[in-house]
Amino acid sequence: MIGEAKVGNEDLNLCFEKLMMVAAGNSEGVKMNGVGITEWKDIPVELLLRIVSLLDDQTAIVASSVCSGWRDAICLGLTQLCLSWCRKNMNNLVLSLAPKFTRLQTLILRQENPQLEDNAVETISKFCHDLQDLDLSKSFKLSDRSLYALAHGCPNLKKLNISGCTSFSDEALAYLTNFCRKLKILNLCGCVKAATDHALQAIGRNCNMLQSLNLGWCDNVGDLGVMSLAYGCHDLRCLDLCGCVRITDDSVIALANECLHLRSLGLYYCRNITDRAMYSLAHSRVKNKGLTWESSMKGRYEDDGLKSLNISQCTALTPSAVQALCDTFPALHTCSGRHSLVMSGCLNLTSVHCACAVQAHRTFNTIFHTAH
Amino acid sequence: MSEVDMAVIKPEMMKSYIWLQTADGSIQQVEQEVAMFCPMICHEVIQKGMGSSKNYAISLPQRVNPAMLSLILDYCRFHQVPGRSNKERKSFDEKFIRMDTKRLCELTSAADSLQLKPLVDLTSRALARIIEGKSPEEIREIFHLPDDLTEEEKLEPLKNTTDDPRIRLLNRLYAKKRKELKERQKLKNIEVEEERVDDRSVDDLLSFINGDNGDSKGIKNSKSKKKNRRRKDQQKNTSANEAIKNHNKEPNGLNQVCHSAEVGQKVRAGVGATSNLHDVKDDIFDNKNELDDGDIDDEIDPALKEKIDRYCSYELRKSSKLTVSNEVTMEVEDFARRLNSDWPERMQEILSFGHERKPVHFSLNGNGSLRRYANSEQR
Repeated sequence: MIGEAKVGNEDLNLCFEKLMMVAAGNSEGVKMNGVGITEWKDIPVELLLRIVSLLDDQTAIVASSVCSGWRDAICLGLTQLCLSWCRKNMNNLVLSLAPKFTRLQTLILRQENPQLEDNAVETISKFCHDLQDLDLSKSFKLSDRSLYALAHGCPNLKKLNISGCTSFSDEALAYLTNFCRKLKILNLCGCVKAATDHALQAIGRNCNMLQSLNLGWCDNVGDLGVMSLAYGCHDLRCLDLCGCVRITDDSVIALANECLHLRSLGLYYCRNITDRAMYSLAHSRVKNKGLTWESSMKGRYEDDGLKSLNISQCTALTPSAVQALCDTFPALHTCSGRHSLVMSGCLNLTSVHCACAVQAHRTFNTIFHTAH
Repeated sequence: MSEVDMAVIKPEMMKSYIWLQTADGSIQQVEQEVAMFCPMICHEVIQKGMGSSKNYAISLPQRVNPAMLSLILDYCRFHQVPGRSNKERKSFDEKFIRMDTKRLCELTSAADSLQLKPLVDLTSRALARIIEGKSPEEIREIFHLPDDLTEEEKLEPLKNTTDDPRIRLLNRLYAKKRKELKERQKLKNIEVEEERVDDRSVDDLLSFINGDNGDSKGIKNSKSKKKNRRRKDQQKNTSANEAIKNHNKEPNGLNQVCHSAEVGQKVRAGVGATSNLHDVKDDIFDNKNELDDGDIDDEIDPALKEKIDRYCSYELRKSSKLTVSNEVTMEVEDFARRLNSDWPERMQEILSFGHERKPVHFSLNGNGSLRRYANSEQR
């Protein structure tokens, strides 16, 4: 018993000594160990940030509450943060972290179960003005207040993902685009109320740098919206219109004529699409071959033009039109290795092959399925 | 041969050496191919022509002391040989970074000042592995960092991966407290921070009560709070010290936690006693991160705090009488469990034994929260 008490005292003495060392500060430590840093808090900020960048987000947050030196370093240096691992408390966490991490450029708040509320997004908009990439997907609880706040607070947004936020309205989205003109990537998948022709017109007017837009399952989207989009966003490269059942050939023709850099197009379930659309896409390519003379000379023939096309369930299409398309765009493949021309559910298009598939077919004389 | 001669005939006759001088003044010579592995030294030699003789030794940055220099040169000596396989290099690296954390920090800093990127990456990754999964206290302990964040800054709802309702309650409380702290910011000074560390355990207990209480009945007087804390510390120290002495130091997890906590706690002599209670709680909850930083400012009447404190020390005294370690563990677990669930009822039970000298009694409100009465008649 006494022995144990003695041991206890020794430990307490050790604590005390450590306290003295810490309290005495830097100079004592240096004297004891010679030249060089002995106190970790002297470490240069870049080195500390490098180490923090190797940590997972949870640990990085913990590290920012260790001491004032680390807090300052991390709050000044942390530019990327992902809080998707939170299952219950994401809202509180954002409320307390946003005022600290004001230099954030990338913030991922995708939720498994909806936790985020408007006050959190308002706090983000109030403090994180450098934000460029924001992922708010599956935030069912958010309302238009968030979009208005973002419009005022984060004008540098380049990438915004609000897929699954079903409560947003198209007015708020249009308002946002008026302020966030640098948007390059926008994901509105499932935002049925927000993605309407009105909003798309606003996007076409304001977000001229837009490169990628996902309008999946937004069945309010019509030709008017997509055409405005095409006329406004000439740099569009990826457009997903899957589930946009009201689209007709006019949309695709506008896209073909205006968006010459289009690389990926999704028309899954757009049943109104006919061969006209296919021929217009092919035709625009032929027209543009002249414009990209240099690139074709340099052998980057395959780099231009459609790389990926999804026309599944577009049952009005005929093999000749699609084959013409496939021939025009060498980057479209039906071969199993690089399959990018997806035609599921189009039973009449089984004969369409890309050039390499034909080659393989001839060489090995095997049955080749293009639709799966 | 004189050094000058050596310098002159160096390229033809013998292995080339580079002269390096560390900040403490000592000079040494190193084989050229080894030293040139460091970009900073390489730059000095090629661009400025330094290092060819003792008089023109390259001055190394202040962060490189002789011990670190020799480590770094060992690293360079191994890796600059071109013929080694990746597997060899990897296994050397793994053995190389096996050192205590302090040296690892110094090595990282030294390697960074010499711009030796592969070594910086290696040591940074090792340090990141050390930091991962630790609580702020542990990190402070490992790296000897000052505990200089204000209470407000520490109130972070960090994580709640186990869906613990108590933690959710705590987090809600944190948010509330943060708002209140903003108002009280002017009253804060350094003295408060020093005393703060000891009382976390009791504050945690208090928070459960406070969380059930709708409104605050606390006196927002920092002075009296400080006084009470000091008094409480002394009281806790004497009783809890007894408790620790009586615990068997057999290797059960509880004691190991207490032991290491005592070593780790840095602020004040006598702190180890209070950490016992705190870490027991942490152990049971298995949520170190959530509770560690929560120094919840109590807004409860200081007298009430005294009551609770005496209750805690009563429990400790009670548990200290048992000598078998299993029973101790059970008793403490029991204690912690009772804290969580039967807190009001338990208080009643204890108080009805007449342990309290003061005529202050508690009773339950309709909603289960505690209420303090001025005299016993109102019971």
